[in-house]
Order: sequence, then C-alpha cells, then structure tokens
Amino acid sequence: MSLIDWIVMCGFLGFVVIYGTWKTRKTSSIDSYIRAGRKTAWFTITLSIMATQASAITFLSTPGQAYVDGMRFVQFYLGLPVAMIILSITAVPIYNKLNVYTAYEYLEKRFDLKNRMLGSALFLSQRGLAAGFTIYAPSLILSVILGWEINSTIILMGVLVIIYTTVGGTEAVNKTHLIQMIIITVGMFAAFAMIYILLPEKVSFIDAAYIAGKMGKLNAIDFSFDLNNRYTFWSGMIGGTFLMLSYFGTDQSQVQRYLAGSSVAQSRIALLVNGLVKVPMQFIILFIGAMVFVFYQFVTPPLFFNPVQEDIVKHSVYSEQYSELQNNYEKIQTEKRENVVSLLNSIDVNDEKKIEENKNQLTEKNKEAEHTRNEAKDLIKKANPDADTDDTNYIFISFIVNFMPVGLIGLVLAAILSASMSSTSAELNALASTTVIDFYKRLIKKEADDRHYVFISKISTVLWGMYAISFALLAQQLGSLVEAVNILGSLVYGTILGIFLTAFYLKRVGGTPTFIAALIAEVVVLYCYFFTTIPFLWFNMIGCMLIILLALLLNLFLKPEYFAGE
Amino acid sequence: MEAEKSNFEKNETPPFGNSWNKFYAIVLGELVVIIFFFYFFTKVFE
Repeated sequence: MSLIDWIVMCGFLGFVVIYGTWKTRKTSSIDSYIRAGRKTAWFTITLSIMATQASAITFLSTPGQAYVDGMRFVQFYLGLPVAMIILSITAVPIYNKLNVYTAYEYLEKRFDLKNRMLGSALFLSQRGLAAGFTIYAPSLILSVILGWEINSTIILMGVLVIIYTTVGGTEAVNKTHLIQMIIITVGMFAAFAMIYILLPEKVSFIDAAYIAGKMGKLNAIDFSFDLNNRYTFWSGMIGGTFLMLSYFGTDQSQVQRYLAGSSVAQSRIALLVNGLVKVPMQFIILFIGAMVFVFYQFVTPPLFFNPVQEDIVKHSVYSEQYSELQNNYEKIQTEKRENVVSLLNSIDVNDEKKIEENKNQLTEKNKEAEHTRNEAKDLIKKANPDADTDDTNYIFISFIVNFMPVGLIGLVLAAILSASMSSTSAELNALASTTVIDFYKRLIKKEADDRHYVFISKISTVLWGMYAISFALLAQQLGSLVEAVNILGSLVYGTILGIFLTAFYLKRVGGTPTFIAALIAEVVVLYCYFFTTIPFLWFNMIGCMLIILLALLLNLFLKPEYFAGE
Repeated sequence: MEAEKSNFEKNETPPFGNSWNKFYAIVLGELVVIIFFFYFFTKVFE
C-alpha cells in the first residue's frame, strides 16, 4: 500500500476518533450518555441505524457473494420496510411513553423482573460474542490481503473504538456514525465508478449488465417456495420480516439509536427512511459485486482469492499440480473472453439464436472454470487441512487492492474500517447500557447520582471492549466457533421477539406463562439447529410463533396476570 | 415534563403525507415498486 493510501486512510479514521472524542467529552448525565439527551434529529438517527447494521463484513462479503452466487441475497432485506412500519406503530411510541433506557426495561414494566433478565441476558450473551466477531472478521481479511499483522489490527481497531465510545457514549456513537456513513457512501460510489471505468472501452453499462445477467448474476428475485433455498422472495418477506423485527425492535444496539430521538415523530421518520433506503443500498452493493464479476470476464481472476492459502499450496508438494490447474484456468478464461465478445455482438444485432448459443457456451465454460477452482480448493485443503476454502470474502478487497488507483485504495479501506468501527461502537455502547441499566442499577445500586452511573457505564464500555478484543484474538484458534457466532443471532432473536410481541399485543398474557414459553421455544429452536436442516432464517419465525402460541395456552392454565403497565 | 410532553405532541405530524398512514403507504408502495423492478431486472437481463 502506498504512502498516499496510508495518509488518506489514517487521516479519515483519525478524524473520526478525534471528532467523536472532542465533541462529546463533556457528557456528564446518564441520559446524555445512554440516550444522547433525547435530542437527536431523524437524519442522524437514520444514518446511525444504517451504520450500526452495516459492518465491515457487509462491504467485504456482500460484493463477493454477488460474484459467486448472484444478487439473490438482496431478498434477505425485503422484510425490512415492513418491519420498520410495524415498529413505528408499536415499539417507538411504547418505548417513548414508558421513558425507558433499554428495550428490556420495558419487559419488567409489562411483565416482571425475570422476563427483563431473560431478555437482557440473551442479548448480552449474543451481542458480546458478535462484537468480537465484528472486529475479528475484517482484521483477518485485511491481514491476509495487505499483510497486516492480525493481532495488532484487532487491538488497534478495538482500542480506537473504545476511546470515543467510552468518552462520549451514545452521543459520540451517533456523531461518529454520521461521518462514518459519509465515508462509507463516498467509498462505495468511488469503487463503483472505478469498476465501470476499468471495463473495456467497447463495453457499455448495459452491455455489462447483459453479461452479468446472462451468466446468472442478476437474479434479484426468485418467487419459488423452497424451504431449502436460503434466499427467496418468501424467506425474505416472511423470515426476513421476523428477523428485522427482532433486530430493530429488541436488540439494544439498534433500539438505543432511536431511543435518542427528540420525539416519537423523529424516531419514526428515522426508521421509515431506513425502510426506504436500505433495500436499494443493498442492491447497489450487490450490483458492484456483479460488475466485479463482469470485470473479471476481461481480466483473468486469481484461481483462488486468498493469497496466503495460495502461497502455502505453491510451496507444498502439490505445487506442480496447482500450476497445471492455473494454466488450465487461464486457458478457459481466454476462451470465455471470446464467447463474451461474441455474446455482446449477438445482443447488438438482436440475434436470439446466437444469443442463446453463446449463453449456453458461456454456461459450459463457467462450469469448467468452477470445476477447476474446486480442484484447486481440494489441493489447498490437502496442503493445509485447516484452510478455509471459501474465498468469497476476499474477492472484493483483492480487486480493490490490485486494480484501484492510489488514493482510492486508502479511501475504500477507510470506508471498510469505518463500517467495522461504527458497528462495534454501537455494540459496546448497547452492551454497557444494558449491563448498567438492567443489572447494575436494577440489582446492585438502585440509588446513586448521575456521575456514578456515567462512571460505571464508562468502566462497563471499556470492559466489554476488552472482552470483544479478547474474543477476536482468541477467534483465530476457534475457527468453527466463529461460524457459530454468525448463526447465534438467529438462535436467540426469535425468542426475544416472541417475548416482545407477546408483551405488545397479548395484553392478557402474564409474565410467568411468557417466561416458560420462552424457555421451551429456545429449546425447540436449538433442536431445529442441531438436528434438522431448516435454514437459519426460519428460526426467528419458529421461535417467535412458538412463544406466542405457548404463552396463550399456558395462560389458560396458570393464574392470569393482567397488564397494568400503561 | 410539560415542555417534553408538548414537544412530543407538536412533532407528531410526519414531514410529508399529512398522516402517518400515508407515510407507511409510501414505504410499502416503494417496496412493491422495488419488487416489480427486481422482477423485470431479473427477466430483462437473464
């Protein structure tokens, strides 16, 4: 990486940290620290909500996913606008009216202490590990591609986030999110523009879209109902709605963003605007991945995108076999290039027969290329049995580093690191708030002045930050655990959502039936995960519906408790 | 507390569409348009 890129990247990141720390250094009340004084405007909340959801993995992995699998992942977000409407109607006014600091505080007001403890404990257990993963995943990828030392990257990123999150709390998180989202947006549009510029002169934007489409990369919608297909219209609309309801309605890292709103209206607008822009934004990020795929139709891509693993196989006994595969891959790519040019010519003259012929030839060539890649992956696995043969996460960053001009590399890296820092800061902020409000203030020290709670919140932020860093450092030795953390969200989100939906809508159901139903539902979800092949998106719906039905049933047998909270 | 309450009520109108239901309809309408767009996008280029 050149000196200019280092200057651009460090300049942007340094500015974010200094700005966030300086602007919020005088935060002294617990309300300012946890809810930014409830004076935030919708524009800042929207950007903060988006920055919290978009981690570095969103920008590293999503384009790669389009490259490998097409754009069908966009359907995952179709339920988001529906969830934003439901939350605007239900959660926002309720949280606002009850003047809560955390989402779980509401559960005690509505049910009892045990439901509040269950909700907050599920959140802390899941989000604590996820915070470590948010730091670990981009550090691993950047260390592989850029040769950075992984432990130093993890510690540096973690410490930078801890500094401004500890000093300014929610206000610092919101203010830095604003800047980070601007960097992320500029970085992604710059990357998009560069890919287009790098395409051969004769290939127009529409031509590029045709190439991607004919090779199955623009499959944005699939109406087939197949439980084994992870991303379809139905899984996105049904499973996705439940997942987004849980995430935005019950996960403190998101709830805390709109609790900071200056009014119900400001919080609502923020959620609804997020509902308007999120799906198009994901579409653009995936489209960038599809365009990277088109770019690699004219330039031979690496046989495997992880250079560290490629290096290991090249220095092993399999090096000769790997070289042969590389030569074969190069030959297939050259033949493919001729087919692509021929396809474009036939599209120009609108020759349907020729288009179909070229499309079929390209499909065959793609199969051959994929077969060669799979053979290469087998060799990589033989050379290093611990190697991860999924190189999806390395595709986009490898393209950035190898083909972007000086200066833009630094900008895009700043965008990726900003995304990582923005998610981590919101997570640490939420973990600290939940620990202090739901456990410390509720169970240990009920009456103390604001300065004391702010001090404890700051200590809690530092401790959660250190926990996240430790997990990230340890994650290198626990490969399979990292994958488990990724799915952990879906294992607990359904349960948390079920508790909240029961609280919102089933006003005659009491705390004890809900608590028992939640425990049973969690066991069922865990059973589904370990003993069935049901895709994880459906766990949210299963857990949630089970709680509602069981709570209704149990309420008939247990002594009814009537809601008197509002 | 009173000031907080009046602020809460004063800001209850959405920025456009006059009522919240219209705002919700706009969000849902956009989603329907997006789904149609995705369908045609998939079909046109496949």
